[in-house]
Amino acid sequence: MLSIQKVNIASLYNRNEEYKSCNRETDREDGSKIQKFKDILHQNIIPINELLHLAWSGVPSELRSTVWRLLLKYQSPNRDANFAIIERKRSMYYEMCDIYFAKNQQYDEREKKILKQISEDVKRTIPDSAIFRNPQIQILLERILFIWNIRNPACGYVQGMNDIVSPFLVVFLSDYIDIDTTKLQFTNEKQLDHLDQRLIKQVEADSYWCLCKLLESVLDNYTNSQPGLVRFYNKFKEILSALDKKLYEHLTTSLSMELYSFIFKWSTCMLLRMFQFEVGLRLFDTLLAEEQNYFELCLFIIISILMKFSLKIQKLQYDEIMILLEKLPTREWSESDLSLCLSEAYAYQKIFSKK
Amino acid sequence: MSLGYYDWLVKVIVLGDSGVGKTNILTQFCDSKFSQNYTATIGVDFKIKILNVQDKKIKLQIWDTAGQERFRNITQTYYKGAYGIIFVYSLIDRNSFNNVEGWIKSILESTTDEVCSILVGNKLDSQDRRVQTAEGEKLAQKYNMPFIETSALENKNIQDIFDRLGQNLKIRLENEGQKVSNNIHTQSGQFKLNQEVNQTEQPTSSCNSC
Repeated sequence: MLSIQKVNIASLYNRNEEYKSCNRETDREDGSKIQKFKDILHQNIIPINELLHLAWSGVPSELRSTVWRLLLKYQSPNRDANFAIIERKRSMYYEMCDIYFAKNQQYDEREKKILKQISEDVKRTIPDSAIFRNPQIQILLERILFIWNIRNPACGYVQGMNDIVSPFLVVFLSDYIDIDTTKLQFTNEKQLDHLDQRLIKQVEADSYWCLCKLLESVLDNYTNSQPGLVRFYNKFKEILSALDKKLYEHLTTSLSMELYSFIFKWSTCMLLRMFQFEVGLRLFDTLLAEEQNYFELCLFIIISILMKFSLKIQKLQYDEIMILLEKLPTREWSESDLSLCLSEAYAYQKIFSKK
Repeated sequence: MSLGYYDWLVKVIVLGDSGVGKTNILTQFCDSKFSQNYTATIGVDFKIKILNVQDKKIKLQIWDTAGQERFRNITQTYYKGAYGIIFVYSLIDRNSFNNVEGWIKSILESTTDEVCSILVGNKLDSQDRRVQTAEGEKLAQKYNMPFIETSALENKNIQDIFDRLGQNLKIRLENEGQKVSNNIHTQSGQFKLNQEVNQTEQPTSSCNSC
């Protein structure tokens, strides 16, 4: 049994606020890494465990859409069966579109209210991205979220889900359209206008189903009074106090409810708002490769991030901590910064899962 | 800068329906900028600003709340100890105006403290007005609070929200200050309004005596 005392936490615990001199040789590795993925993906029955293992450390962008669909079990690892299964799912989605967005559709008051909410949020989803300002993309996103709302009456649409669906949308869209994922804009806006509508519908359906798959294990984060997040917070406190007592004590005596609201805010949108969009895609590679446990990893990621700023936070008082946490420097992180943080989070997670 | 000298520390919350411009008002006031680039607020966001009211400095700890009902649980926990409340609706969204009374009542139900409130009709820049000035005035009168129409986009009347709120806060704080100073609630000349803040603010408050 591995206990926390037996692990030298100091060896894991990176107190540097920035990850400098990260392994930049990843570019050189890319060629062989892509090949490894291709070798797996070309098999008739794709060995999912191998794929999970490989994907955890990041998926090459050109293979992301396929790998994500597989990791979420939306796409079958059996190549022969896959096409039929995915086509059926897509047809189901199109039918739902026809039902819930039929011409002359009458919505009741509650539905009107949520439609308005979704439309407000879609307008401000990743607001500085030209892709998300495109009216066609906005309508598509509204449909996905409204159908999600209707099909999940226990929790319905909650703000933040618009953020969570956005990586899927961009990744699936980039199969057909050139996208600059750094600036999050179309390389050529006209490409979208000329794209076969059938393919756009596929992107929409796939994004919807992947959102469903991702959220199915964490629905109680979004139901009334959000019990999943309360549990998450309690666990967060327990683990942080074990790993970094000084930080824990400083945070909990300086802040009270406020700490909860930060944890709440970060986790409601799967940490995506903590990072640049492109880095968020890298985050999703790992989260999806964690399968059902991914939300637990989110907890350890938050802890790793806070511990990174531990010494700094311990010197700060209420206002300053609040300002730091409101604007965490993680927005400046590169993909390799995040990769290192994920490894740390994984190490912490291992310590606690063995206890 | 914002962490310097002040006479009073006041917790302010901003309430109103989703999309009425709460975050934009605050960003215009605190950071002097307007951007279309704001995402929906999840839970609550925090801002800080020192407000000068005549010879006094009031440090505002401002909580920007999410409008969606699902977050009511978390936003309501911030009602406690709030001394200033800004109710916001959008002049181009009739429903957001109709819902203001709901927001006011949620405050009345959950706090017994007397608060300084102000009613704000935002998006004055838009041509598509759905709520008349007289309606806002009437509602504000009913609940005995000042009323102002603003445009966060054009930075119109934004400072006035806080100036008017600040004047009322100052009057209230001076009265309350006299009342409670007999009750040893003052600390280094600073009146504490919020128990949570009480526990957490000692280090910054020690140098604030005026």
